[in-house]
Amino acid sequence: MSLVATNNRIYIADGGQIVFDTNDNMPHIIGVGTYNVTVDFPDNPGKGIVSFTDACGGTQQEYQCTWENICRLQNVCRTETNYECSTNFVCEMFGGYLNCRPVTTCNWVMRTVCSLEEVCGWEQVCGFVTVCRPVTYYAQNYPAYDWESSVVIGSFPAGLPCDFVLVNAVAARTSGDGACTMPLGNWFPLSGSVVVESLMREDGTPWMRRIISVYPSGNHLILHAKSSSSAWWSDFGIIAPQLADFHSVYHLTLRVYMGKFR
Amino acid sequence: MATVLHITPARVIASNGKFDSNYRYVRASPAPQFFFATGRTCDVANGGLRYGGPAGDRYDDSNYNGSWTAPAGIGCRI
Repeated sequence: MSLVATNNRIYIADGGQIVFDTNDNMPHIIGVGTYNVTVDFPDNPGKGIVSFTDACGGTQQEYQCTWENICRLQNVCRTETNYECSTNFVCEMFGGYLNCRPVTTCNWVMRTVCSLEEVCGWEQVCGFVTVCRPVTYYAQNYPAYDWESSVVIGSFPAGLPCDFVLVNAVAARTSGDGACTMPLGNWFPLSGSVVVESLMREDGTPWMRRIISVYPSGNHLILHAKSSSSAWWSDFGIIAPQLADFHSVYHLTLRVYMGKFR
Repeated sequence: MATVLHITPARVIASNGKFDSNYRYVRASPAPQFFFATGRTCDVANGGLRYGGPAGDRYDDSNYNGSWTAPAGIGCRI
């Protein structure tokens, strides 16, 4: 161990390795501040219910009657009256000879004559038939939507811009019920960025992410919030779904330790 | 009584232990062992997350399609 103090430098070496050196830039805290901020993540403004109607999405049985020209083969009988004559020979024995002479007899004769004929006629035919039934399907539609906001929540003393900030935060939610990944009501480190909300698709891929970041920029302390969701349609169903509300409001208390290296 | 300055061949203690050569003080270094983040460490786009560490390390969700890169951190060692 060696301690070397000169006019403009103090350093300590341990086994040949310098463990402290005033020539090095070392982190130190130049100020501490507490900030209360509200982050208002908006709902997706383009969301909506979409629908389409399939003209034959289903079938049903209906009792229907129609007029039809139906033909059938029928045995049709008619009565015919004809004047008919018949000739018979009348024979008589006369003088040992048989003497025959024709005798014609005429009469009106009625007869019933039947035959198969095609008979057509209009008839009302009724029965149950399968008919199309229109069905309307509905789905939720969330178009891709990105939103971000950057606000100055504090300023550092002029000439003393921070190199870094160490932030502890406690968050409360005053609106929204999406899946929050912050430990609401408990202090947690928020140096850099933190994921605030995370929602997944059915297959596990991310669908919506929201983050909050706190960092120094020049003489200012910046709070940046960003939300991003990709386009998503739900499955179509016959029942109109309810749209989810992704509006979330968080109130954060930030305990900020402002640091410099020189 | 408080130790104002205590120097032995193996150890230097000053200001009642606020400085102690047994501690490993953090220093900015061009050969860093770790980094201080100086800005955002995450971005989101297309519903996906990109984690960008101050050392240039990166993790993307499969659907991330942004182009953000994390600001370089301050490299440090002890």
